[in-house]
Amino acid sequence: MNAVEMSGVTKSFGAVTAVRDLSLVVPSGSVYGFIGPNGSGKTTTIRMIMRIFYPDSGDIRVFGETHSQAATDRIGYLPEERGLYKKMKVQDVLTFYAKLKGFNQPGAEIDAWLARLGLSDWANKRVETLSKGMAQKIQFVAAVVSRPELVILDEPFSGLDPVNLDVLRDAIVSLKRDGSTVIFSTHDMSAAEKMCDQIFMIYRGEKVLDGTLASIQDTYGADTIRLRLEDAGCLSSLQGVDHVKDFGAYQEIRLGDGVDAQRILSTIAARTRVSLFEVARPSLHDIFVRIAGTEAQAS
Amino acid sequence: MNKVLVVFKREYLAQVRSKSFLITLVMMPLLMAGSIIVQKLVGEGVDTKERRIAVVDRTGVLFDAIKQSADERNATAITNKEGRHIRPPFIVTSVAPKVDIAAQQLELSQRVRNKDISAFVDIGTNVTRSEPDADADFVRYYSDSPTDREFIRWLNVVLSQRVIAMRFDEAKLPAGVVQGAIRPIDIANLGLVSVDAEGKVKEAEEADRLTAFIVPYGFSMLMFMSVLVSGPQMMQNIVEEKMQRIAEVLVGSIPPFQLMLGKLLGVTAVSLTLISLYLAGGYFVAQKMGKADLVPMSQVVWMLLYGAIAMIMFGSIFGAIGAAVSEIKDAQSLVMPVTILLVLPIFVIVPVIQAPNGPLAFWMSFFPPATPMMMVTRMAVPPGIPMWQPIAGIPLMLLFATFCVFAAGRVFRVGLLMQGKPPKIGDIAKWVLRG
Repeated sequence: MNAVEMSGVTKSFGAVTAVRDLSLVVPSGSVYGFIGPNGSGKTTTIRMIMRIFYPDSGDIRVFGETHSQAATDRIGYLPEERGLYKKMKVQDVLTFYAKLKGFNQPGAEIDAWLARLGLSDWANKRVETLSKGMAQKIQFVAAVVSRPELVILDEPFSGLDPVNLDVLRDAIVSLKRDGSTVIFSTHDMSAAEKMCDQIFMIYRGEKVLDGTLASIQDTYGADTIRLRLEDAGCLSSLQGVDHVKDFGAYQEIRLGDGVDAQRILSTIAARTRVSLFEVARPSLHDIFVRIAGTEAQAS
Repeated sequence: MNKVLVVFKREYLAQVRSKSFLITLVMMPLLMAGSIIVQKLVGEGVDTKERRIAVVDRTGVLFDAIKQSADERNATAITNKEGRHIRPPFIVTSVAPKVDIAAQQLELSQRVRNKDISAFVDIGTNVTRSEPDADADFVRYYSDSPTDREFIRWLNVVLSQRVIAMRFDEAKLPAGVVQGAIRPIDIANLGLVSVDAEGKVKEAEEADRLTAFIVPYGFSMLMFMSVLVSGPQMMQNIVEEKMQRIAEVLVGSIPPFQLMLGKLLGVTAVSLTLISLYLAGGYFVAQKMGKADLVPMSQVVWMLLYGAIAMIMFGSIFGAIGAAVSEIKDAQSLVMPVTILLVLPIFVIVPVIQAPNGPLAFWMSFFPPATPMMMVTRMAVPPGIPMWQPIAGIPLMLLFATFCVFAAGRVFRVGLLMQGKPPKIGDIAKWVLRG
């Protein structure tokens, strides 16, 4: 059973095609990551799955059904930003959202989630008194408190500090453990790498990556070398190297087609001291940048 | 339907618990009381500086009477109970008439300009005579403050009494007989005579100004105020939901039409709450004043019913505007025509109260946006209107309200997630037509 099936979906706003001929299958019980530069169509895709937008053409099935409107009790949704009544108390706003999903006795569930995210003391505070991170966690609770089968989170991690990021990451993992399907979009590539069963990347409205991390990395091969050198300057004139990135503490180079890593090592070793040399597959971050690099730099 | 109730409950509580609702609730009576107090204060704050009036009495017989009346008035009628001056004293001085009238008037005008005197009066020679003479019948008041009519009003009464008596004398008519003959009549404005429970004929009550004007006017104002307070509040809440991206969560949980319905019911309940509270307050005050029976219960029921329908009509329009724009300031230009529609009955309320069964009143009360206020007003003015009219008004309004709700529902669905540039009225019309 698939949670979401999209086939040949296109959506335009005026002259702009936001999503073009997109097909996607999200299996039940999986965690699916949506990545892509800003404005590439992630949110449009999510809103179409939510049935907030209707596709111009193509077919979208959620749990095998093509329902006609967004309102469904089976999906929990966290929009990109805010989404809470400022003047309401945390407890009340969560109860309201749960009841809107037809979950009429949410008290225990709310208490449990607030306790889990360390927000129990804030249950009777107004939303406007919360910090940004806290409000974001409350928003997350609002999306999951009715125990939906599919949870869609648009940028759940943006603006969170590392501690809260871990808390939220654990919460998402626990959703999966309880049998929910999770779709989330993110700019946090390491989170996507660590958490997602499958990753989908959309660029300029079209699907450019779709699959498990391993399968995606396989298509790019082991062409990346991580180095720690005494003098990083010697990399600049290296033959057979496509791309050099100096992170300061370490460097990353990408090899050209058919270039032997061993030969590169001996060349570098002749020039400077090498304290780290690791042949690796490109990270999701690298793959993202390779696809969208020029545009991301321009924006 | 359960979700409609969830939205209804939140919307109602959010509005009723908000500070602005409490402020409105307290402010309206405060404003009314305040305006009465201010009027009183302003009334006491009149210019009580003495008015020095020069009198050119060409008859030679009127000045003494004027002087005597002025002195009496200055002694008795210009202070209030606490002895504070509330009116200006009039100091009149006689100026000998000169033959060249124009020259004398010029000279006296100059004295007014020099602040030597406040004004002057020129009384023609023939004023006291019973035989008219167009050239000499004048009484002229010259001043540089034509809007200050206090002295003129007073002088008019004093001179008239004196002069008329003198004319009677001259014509050898006995003043008492003539005064009796020309006494004015005073028409009493009465309601109808009825028979009470014991079979006695009940005195016709004087048709009270309270029922004839205050009650219908108050009813209309109350309805107008409640729509004007709750409607834009609902609009503002929806804009906030859009700006806070709450709308996106909401439409993921409840169909837009149901969402709007819940909000509409909520805001209607808010406005009924407002009306009920004021009616209860008004009834309490009326009871204290012993006039509670002036407000018939049946009219209150009609008013609540019409108030509810009015709120649904205008609430859905305000709601649609809220859904169409992204910022509250973008809403202003769209709110304008709605406000005019809402204010329309207020513009015509005075002629409608004066002629509650006239053609203007009749046709206006079958123009759906104006129906609630017009019908309620006309029903409250004795003797009321034929029963079929308010009843016929209901399906008409319901039809219009249904259209509003339907159209607003479509605008809601399209507009709720739209961000950025505010739509033009034409765009909104397209949303309504296309769905």
